[in-house]
Amino acid sequence: MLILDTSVLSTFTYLGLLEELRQLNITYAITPDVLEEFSKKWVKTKIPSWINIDTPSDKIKIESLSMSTTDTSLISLAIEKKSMIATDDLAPRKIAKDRDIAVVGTLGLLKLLYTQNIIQTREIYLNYLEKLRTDLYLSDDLLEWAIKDID
Amino acid sequence: MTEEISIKISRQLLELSGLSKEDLEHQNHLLILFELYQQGKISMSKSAELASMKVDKFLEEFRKRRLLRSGGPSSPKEAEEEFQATKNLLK
Repeated sequence: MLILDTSVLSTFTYLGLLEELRQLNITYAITPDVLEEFSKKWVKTKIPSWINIDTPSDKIKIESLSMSTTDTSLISLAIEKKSMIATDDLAPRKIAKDRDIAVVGTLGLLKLLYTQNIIQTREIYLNYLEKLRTDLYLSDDLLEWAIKDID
Repeated sequence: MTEEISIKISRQLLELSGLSKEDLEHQNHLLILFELYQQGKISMSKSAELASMKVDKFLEEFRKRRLLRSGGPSSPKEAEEEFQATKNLLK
């Protein structure tokens, strides 16, 4: 299962690629806190039914000055479900990795969409990368990685 | 909870900003949050909380200043490791 945070969910909505994520055939989840943040930002976009809304139990308490309750809900759910998290946000990424939770960001998922032929042409993929760069800073090294070993 | 500190800025800068002391205090608070968020010291959601804003409003202020979100993997090596780990999720 892949637990999405608001940053990744919003970026894929911005890129117009939310439906394409479904085609990866991964089980996705968000927490009610992420749903609330997302719904305030994207009032016209409904969360698709293939994204599960899971509430973490109260058993795992995460406290961090650098994170909000929305972020800690993601980490708690990931620990509970032994799942991976999708986030671009540096603070939760660090805390997740310190707890051995696997993490991926928008760039990795975008490359996966291309390598799985869901984004069908190199030109379209490059256009998405360009669009992503208008929102998220990508270093030259990372951009090079994104287009490395692809046809 | 707040703490009062004093920050010196030049009179010229104050005049150029066209801001009242209260507005300057607010702007300063916001700029510090933008910086901490970009450095990865606090999350976007926490930044918004500390700015007493909803996340979408905080992002709007952030983008108004033509700032880019920083985030994701820090190196190609990290990106590749994450990419391979995500491939394992494919059914």
